[in-house]
Amino acid sequence: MAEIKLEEVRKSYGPAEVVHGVDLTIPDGEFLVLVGPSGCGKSTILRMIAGLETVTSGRISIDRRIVNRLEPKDRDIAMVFQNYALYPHMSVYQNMAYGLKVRGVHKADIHNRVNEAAVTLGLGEYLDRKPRALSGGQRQRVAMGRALVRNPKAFLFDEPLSNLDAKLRNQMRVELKQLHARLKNTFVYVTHDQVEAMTLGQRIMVLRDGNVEQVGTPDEIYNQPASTFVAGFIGAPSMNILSGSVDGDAIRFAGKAGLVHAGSLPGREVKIGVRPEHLCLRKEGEGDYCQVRAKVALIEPLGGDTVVHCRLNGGSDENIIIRVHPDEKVGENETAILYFKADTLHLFDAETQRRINGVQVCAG
Amino acid sequence: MAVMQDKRVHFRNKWLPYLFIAPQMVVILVFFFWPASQAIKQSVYLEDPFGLSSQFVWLDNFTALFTDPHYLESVKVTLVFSLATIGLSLSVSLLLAVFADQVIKGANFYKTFIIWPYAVAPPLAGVLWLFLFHPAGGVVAYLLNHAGIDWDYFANSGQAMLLVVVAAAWKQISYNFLFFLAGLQAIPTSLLESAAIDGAGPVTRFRTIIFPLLSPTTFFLLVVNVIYAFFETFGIIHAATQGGPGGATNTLIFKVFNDGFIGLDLGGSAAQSVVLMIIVMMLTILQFKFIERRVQY
Ligand SMILES: Nc1ncnc2c1ncn2[C@@H]1O[C@H](COP(=O)(O)OP(=O)(O)OP(=O)(O)O)[C@@H](O)[C@H]1O
Ligand SMILES: [Mg+2]
Repeated sequence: MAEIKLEEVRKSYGPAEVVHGVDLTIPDGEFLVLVGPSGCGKSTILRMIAGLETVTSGRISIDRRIVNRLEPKDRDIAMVFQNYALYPHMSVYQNMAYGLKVRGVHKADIHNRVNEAAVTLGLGEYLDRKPRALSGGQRQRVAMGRALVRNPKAFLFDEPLSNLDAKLRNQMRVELKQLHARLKNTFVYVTHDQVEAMTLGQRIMVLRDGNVEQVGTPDEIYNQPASTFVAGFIGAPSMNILSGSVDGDAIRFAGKAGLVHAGSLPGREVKIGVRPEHLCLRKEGEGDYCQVRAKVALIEPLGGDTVVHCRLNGGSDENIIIRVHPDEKVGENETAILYFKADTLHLFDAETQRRINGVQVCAG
Repeated sequence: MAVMQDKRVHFRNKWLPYLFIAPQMVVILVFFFWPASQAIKQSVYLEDPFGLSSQFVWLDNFTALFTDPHYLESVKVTLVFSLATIGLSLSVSLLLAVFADQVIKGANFYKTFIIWPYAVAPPLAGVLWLFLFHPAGGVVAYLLNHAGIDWDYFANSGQAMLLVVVAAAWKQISYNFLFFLAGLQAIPTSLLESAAIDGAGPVTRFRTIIFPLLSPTTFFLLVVNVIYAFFETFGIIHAATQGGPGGATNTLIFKVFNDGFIGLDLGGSAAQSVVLMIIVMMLTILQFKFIERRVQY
């Protein structure tokens, strides 16, 4: 049970700085997800918390104690690695008992705790096996069990599900969430998978090239993305980002379509973001609808819904993706009119790529 | 149903594969089987030093061997010499490999540095140590004498043994080092990181993770080093001590040479070779047996 706090944390490898000043407080018991594309520094941050990497500057504290100079073993955290890092020469039981044994826990106590964890994780019948005789999912569970038995202050996970097949991944995701609900320890979870981030995280930190793009609840990240990067990274298919130019109190985009805005915009160029699921092929009921014309380029039926790739008319050469009900009749190479409500769109500054707040827009 | 993959190459001409291995077979026949069969034959004959007459004596050469106190003394010397050499070279090379593994960044320089001694031929190594430690002119011997140590390995059997052990171990360290380093590098870093988080300090990590995972390498090296200490250290002993003083460094392999070519006891020497051959065979079988099951964990 512990709060984890990062203050101005930076990391350099030689002259190259890869983490550029991260500030973050993870309250006790929170499930925080670090998400971002490959190479953005997620693992580095997690490893700094674990004590496997030194902190170049800034401070990390766990449970109000600064841990910058503390050995990993003295931080009282547990970590689950992407490749599970099970000790190949030890049985499942020995793997789970290892951390307790080297800490000098009493044998009977070890026995109870390992067996309890094994029951929780459904590993009871595999305790005598060596890791190589287990399936990927079972190895994953052993890795979790190894963390579990120690009952540490915090659990750190580095892409623990990425080596599993899709079905098992979904199942383990649910189990992880239940585990957290039961244990109520602090969880820090690294992933590049935005579905995992959205479903698991109580809060999500989105990273890009060693910078924090946004920290917020899944709802905030999804509905009020702080930048075009976050908007494009979270949600599948990605949010459509269109270029718009400001002309007095009007914004023109996609050729001649327009919006009317009330409020002051920072520059002459803006980006307009609209999620594929907010676009439709017809108006549904009353509402403040904008409309654009587009030519259907490709149709991807996914079963539950259909993703339609279109090319906007009007010479702007932009692509737009919409997600519609599979019954929707639409054919490739047809020209369609796409509708979306003005209050579902997001405005971003074209120069800084940051979100513009407090500007009302309506169809015009 | 799984399709079995056949990795064998099929030759259309069935004599072609034999042709390919023929040169190798010729080399083995001429340089191994022929001398070996000669040794076996000679070991049951009694031959006069000039090779003019020989007499079939059954296993007399062997009985003579195992009742000869010099031979039993030589067995003891060999055991002491081999154990000391193997212990020294394995422990030093493991230590160096662990250091090298830790400073992987600088390892390239370090690696070539340690491989150096391996490029030196055994007699050369012997001569090198001879130059350094020769009581009448060696640099190190001079320094030792200066420091008040009475250094003369021609007279002191303990010193003679120490010298050949260190020289022989030194020669083997680079080889062992390479294998240990490769073994260490094959251990995923995440295992050690995981152990560190689990609460194990460096010594515990070495004892509970690194050493067990290194055991196949260690066993392999053990066999190789036994063979080395038994058979390949001839050059060093020949150059440095000639088996002396008073047989203190007269190992089995040196004794074969000494009895055969200096003492001209061809039958006895051949019997000794046959004993050594049997030892090598057993060691090799042991190694193959182990390698078959080496994916232990
Ligand atoms: N030991 C190292 N030496 C030099 N650069 C490193 C080292 N470790 C990581 N980096 C660099 O730091 C950056 C961040 O790496 P990190 O492993 O944290 O990425 P990540 O977000 O976990 O990516 P992934 O999703 O691929 O695991 C990368 O650009 C990487 O090249
Ligand atoms: Mg990573």
